[in-house]
Amino acid sequence: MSCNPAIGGLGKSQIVRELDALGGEMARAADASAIQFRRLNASKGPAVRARRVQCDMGGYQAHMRSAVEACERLALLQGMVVDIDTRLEGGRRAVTGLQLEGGRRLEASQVVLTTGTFLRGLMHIGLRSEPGGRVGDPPDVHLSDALVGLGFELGRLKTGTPARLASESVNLSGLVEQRSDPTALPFSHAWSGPKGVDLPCYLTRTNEKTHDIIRANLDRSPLFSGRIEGVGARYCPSIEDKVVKFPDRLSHQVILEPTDMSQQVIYPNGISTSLPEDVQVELIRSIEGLEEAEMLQPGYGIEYDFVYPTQLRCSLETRAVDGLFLAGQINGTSGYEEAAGQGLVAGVNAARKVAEQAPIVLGRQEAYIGVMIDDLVTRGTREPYRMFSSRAEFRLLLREDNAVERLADAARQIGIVDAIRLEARDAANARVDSLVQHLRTTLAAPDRDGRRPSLEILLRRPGVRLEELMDGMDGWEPDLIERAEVRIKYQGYVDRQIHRAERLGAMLGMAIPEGLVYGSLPGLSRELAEKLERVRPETLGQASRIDGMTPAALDVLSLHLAGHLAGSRRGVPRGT
Amino acid sequence: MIRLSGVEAFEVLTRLLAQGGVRALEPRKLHLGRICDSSGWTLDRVLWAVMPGPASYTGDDMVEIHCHGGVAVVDTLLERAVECGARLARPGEFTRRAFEAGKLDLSRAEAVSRIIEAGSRCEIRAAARALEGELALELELLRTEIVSLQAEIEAGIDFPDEGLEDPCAARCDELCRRMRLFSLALRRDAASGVPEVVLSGRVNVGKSSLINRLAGRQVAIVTAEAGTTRDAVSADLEVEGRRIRLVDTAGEGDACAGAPAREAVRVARERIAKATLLVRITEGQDGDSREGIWVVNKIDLWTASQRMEMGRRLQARGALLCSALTGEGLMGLRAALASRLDEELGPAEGIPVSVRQFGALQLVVSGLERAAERLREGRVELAAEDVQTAWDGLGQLGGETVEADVLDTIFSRFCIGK
Repeated sequence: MSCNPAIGGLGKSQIVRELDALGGEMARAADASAIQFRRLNASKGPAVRARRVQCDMGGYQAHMRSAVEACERLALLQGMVVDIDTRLEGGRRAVTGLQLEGGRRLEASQVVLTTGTFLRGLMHIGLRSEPGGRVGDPPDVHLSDALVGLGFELGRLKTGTPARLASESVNLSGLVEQRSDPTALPFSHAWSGPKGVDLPCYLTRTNEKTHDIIRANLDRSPLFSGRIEGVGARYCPSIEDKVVKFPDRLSHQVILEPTDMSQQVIYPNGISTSLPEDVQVELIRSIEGLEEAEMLQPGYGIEYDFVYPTQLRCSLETRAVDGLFLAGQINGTSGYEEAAGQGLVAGVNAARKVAEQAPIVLGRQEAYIGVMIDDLVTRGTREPYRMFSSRAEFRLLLREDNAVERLADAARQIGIVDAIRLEARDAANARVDSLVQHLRTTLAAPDRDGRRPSLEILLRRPGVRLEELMDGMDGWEPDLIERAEVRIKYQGYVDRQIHRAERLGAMLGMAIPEGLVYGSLPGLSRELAEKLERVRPETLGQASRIDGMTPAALDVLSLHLAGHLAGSRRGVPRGT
Repeated sequence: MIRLSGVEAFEVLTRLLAQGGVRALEPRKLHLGRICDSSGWTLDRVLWAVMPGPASYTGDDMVEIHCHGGVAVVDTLLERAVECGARLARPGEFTRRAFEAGKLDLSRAEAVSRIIEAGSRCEIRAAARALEGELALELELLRTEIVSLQAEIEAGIDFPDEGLEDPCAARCDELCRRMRLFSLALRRDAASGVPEVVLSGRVNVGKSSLINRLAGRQVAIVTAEAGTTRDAVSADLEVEGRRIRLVDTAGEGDACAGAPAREAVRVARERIAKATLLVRITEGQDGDSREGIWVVNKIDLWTASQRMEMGRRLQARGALLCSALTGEGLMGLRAALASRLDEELGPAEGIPVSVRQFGALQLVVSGLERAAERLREGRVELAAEDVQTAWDGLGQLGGETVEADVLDTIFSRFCIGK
């Protein structure tokens, strides 16, 4: 974990729940190593609530490592990849293996590349820059050339991290403490209860003096002197960015977070920076509580290469090279959860390809993972892509509480989750169904006017909770109660979204043949034809989301596709 | 020539032709026939042929009707065909259907796509023309406001640590108010072009006299005998700058029984159902003004004391008193017609928009109304859905879909992130 060891957040937490439903490890690793559980948007509706945990950095890593090592028939090898071997066959290029530093070669028909921030990584601290993938690790300097050689178009992104501080040098006495939420739930569906650990965070703020220090040293900032060319994320600005872009804000929040059980290191969340070391020390010590802070490691900005993700299929296999899959920051994303979501899809699809099975593609109406991958391969990205709940047009359907429901089929198809757990989930789903049915058919006690509405109607009213309506809910698991409650409260809106999803699915699910030559389609502007050639959408729906797509162009495409279909089923009556 | 295509083409043809006109649908043979209006009057003598699918141009069942030339004849026949269940084809639709049925090769698709593109371009241009000037500016402002509302809602949801406040419902209310003001300046054009004002009422209350009086000429035959009017009779006239079509219908409770009378009642019901505005005419107290304008006719027969008492009472219930015979009260009726039509369709001098566009505007208003309600309940994620509906409606109104870059707006307005 190169940044702060937190898992979850809006949109991200839903991805973690989806991973858990599909058999991924992230939820369990986060629960097992959690040192603080929080619930975001607890006062808002269930579709926009989210979990977030702080993890014990070492504990998380240890959990992941042992989970990987426990996999049967999995060999672990460490080495620096310097080249990708491919061969041309029938006009198509396919992966055959990898070259490692030192001359060793690995044979493989499928390869998943997950390079993080290491591709030609360049770390900036002030005007000093040095090659590196993260602190203490060298960058990968060969793979970018190999990818360019295979015809991939690469871009450059930037991210950053704040300094790390020694805990004993920080004075926490006057600061606001932030602890776990008592109502916070674990990520994993199979978790048997939170651990007892609850380490606090502390809130402090920058002040005008901090901002003066930053403004006085902007000429030594690699961001503002033009040394950093990579594009940074707008949602993850450095403190110098915040001060310059929002000059009327006199103060910004800083959260002092523990990074592990030992509590020796503090991560000051909110002051990511690539200013020179001496300026970092000065600006940190201008903040309340940090007057005597000892800097263990300076913050830095890092630039790295990524592959424009519009060169990928929805399965995360590259279009140019068969058997080559990409996942994580190499596709222009940022964040552990986003990387994990892609990692699962790419890994599963690589394995399925070996077994000659069709790839798993999750839809936008099925999962945040589906939204993310569709966004990446269809629209690409210009800044590090992070998940937000507002990216999902079917947000009310994609909730934390129903991940196992909506991904039941996919989980079964993928086959990582074992049959016993799948059965237990089916049983839980059935209990939710029957509870919902019960609420629909049971009438409440007569009200003042003598009317007896069903419990469902009462529950739909804002602010009414299921526990208040029914006795004998004691035996029910809180998450099942929540699922039933959410289903009823969202009914009308969810029905509308399902209806829209189905309508779009029927209209836009039409597959586009792989080799379609867009330039030859009459009525398409050259600009759009070029965009379509670049993205090569797999369905009409994907085509409709390409930047600048017009209804007229979609008509042309659908006409063409209908023509294809009509050729094969002539005589079948078709409505318009 | 008029062409019909689709699964119901033959049924529509059967309804169009005079009784007994279709003996057998022999494919690809020309037949002589008469096309009649709903009451059986001949509109034109035509030649017709049927081409069963899939061996037809479009692949559907098709009918070709060769009629006499002249815009009026063709228009009348088209109108009648629509009454019989057909709908007008969209630009390029026949070719499109043919293409989809695999009847045309790809090279022909070029022509189709050009037509389709031209069609939507025309629509966008027309929409743009309709919404030019100050109103376009106002629309643009509303657009910015809605995106900023969306940005505030979404920022509050996606960045819970930033301590942002949810937008207050009052902002939605204000937007709603502005949308309603905006809608006041628009004039909906009825689907047929001219709004229809349909006169209804029992037999012999004087509907035909009234229409003749309002039109200033004899449109309908008037006799003392109840139930003189059988067919719907119409007259176009101008009321305070707006062209309207007055439609006289057969009265309810026709004394004559039998098929013609039943048919007359059916036609009357149809016209009433399609009316932009209804004028209900009675002779006495048996009416109300809930569904349109209520006119109490024949007040020339009233005594002075009836006028004093009954007249006041009826007026208090919303009735307009008039006499088609003397012309008394007709000024008031004209004024009432004008103001009710203003209410229904927007001002006569307003900017014209189509019914579809107006529907889109309703979508915006109702979306914002619901959003305000959801915000008051504190259910922001549902408010977000409703604001999205409003946004989609705004896109339809302008004839184009613009994607709101909510994230851009969030990042330019709020300092967000760790």
